[in-house]
Amino acid sequence: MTNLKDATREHFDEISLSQDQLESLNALMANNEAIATESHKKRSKKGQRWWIKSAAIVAAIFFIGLGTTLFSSLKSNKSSQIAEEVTYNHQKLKPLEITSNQISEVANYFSAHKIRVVRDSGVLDKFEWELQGGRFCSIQGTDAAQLRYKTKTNEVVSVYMAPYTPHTMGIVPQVERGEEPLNVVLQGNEVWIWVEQNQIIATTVPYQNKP
Amino acid sequence: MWFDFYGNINVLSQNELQRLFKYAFSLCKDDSHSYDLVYDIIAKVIDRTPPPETPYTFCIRSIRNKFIDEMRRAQKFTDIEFDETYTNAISLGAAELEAIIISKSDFPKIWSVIEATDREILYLSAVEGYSASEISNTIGVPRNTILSRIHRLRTRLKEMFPEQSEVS
Repeated sequence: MTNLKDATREHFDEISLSQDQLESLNALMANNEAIATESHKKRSKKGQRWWIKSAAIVAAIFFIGLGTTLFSSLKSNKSSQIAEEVTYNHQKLKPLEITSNQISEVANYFSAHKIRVVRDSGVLDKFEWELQGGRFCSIQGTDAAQLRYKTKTNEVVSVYMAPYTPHTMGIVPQVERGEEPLNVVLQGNEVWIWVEQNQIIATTVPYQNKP
Repeated sequence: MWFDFYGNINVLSQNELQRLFKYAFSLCKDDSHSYDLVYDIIAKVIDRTPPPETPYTFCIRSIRNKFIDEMRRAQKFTDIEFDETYTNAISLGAAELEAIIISKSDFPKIWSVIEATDREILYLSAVEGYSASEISNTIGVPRNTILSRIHRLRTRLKEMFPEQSEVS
């Protein structure tokens, strides 16, 4: 016999963040720290010339305008939402739930949970990315597979796959009909979205590794 | 690490990260979900201007709000309002939890059936060592509501284990 508080304490002794999880959270904070430190330094720096500030403002307006133009080139608002969603997920880099460089193994993992992974995508097969593994996520509320790859230059690429439902995902180009994937640059990543084998597929690629 | 308006630095320590995770776990009982809650809240908090004065408490409340929002969306959350009929019946507060004696083997069953709000109070009381007032200040819920929940929990456990005279 024990009292409820002691039993609760004992229960929580066994619960903690894994090393991977802790590292991801630290990386999240460290990334912010770098931004904050830089911002702090800038705030402290005296004697900045007014024209540097003006040039920065003009450049910011230019890039915001450019980004907006690129973003509005997406065919539908829902595609924009998908692009934002996959970019957000990509940047989080949450721990993988299955680690494997075999697409069949990863596909089997997801098929056990009723999510189909397109193993022979005509678009994805053009790239020599190395599969790292995958984890569950969602696209517009639909359960999805998030596959993680690494490029030859060791940069992370995320590929998302989910059943294509036009009413929730909007009209997305179907490459099997000869249509070109949608693309947009968001927060330093190039997002590509298309439909293949009745699955919506989205990739988030570091900008310089344009497919 | 954040810099506030005056250049002060606010840090979430490793210990605080673990405690946030455990708190989230007390609500959702799931490792991956707890991690997602903590991650999402930290990601939002670090973008916040101005930064919170007490990041840890801010994160606790934000995790709580996010969890409740998620559960409401999934229609799994029933908020327990403070019931005045318990006002006079409760005077021991968090110490009342120590009077609840259970069999160790019953703990998983208890943990699986009690409400998220009860698990939250149990965690804050047992692991963090908070009093009812401190729990109230931390999660932003009136102290009387906390006391009411503790009393309800005790009553419920009595119903669950009527054969245990120690649950008194």
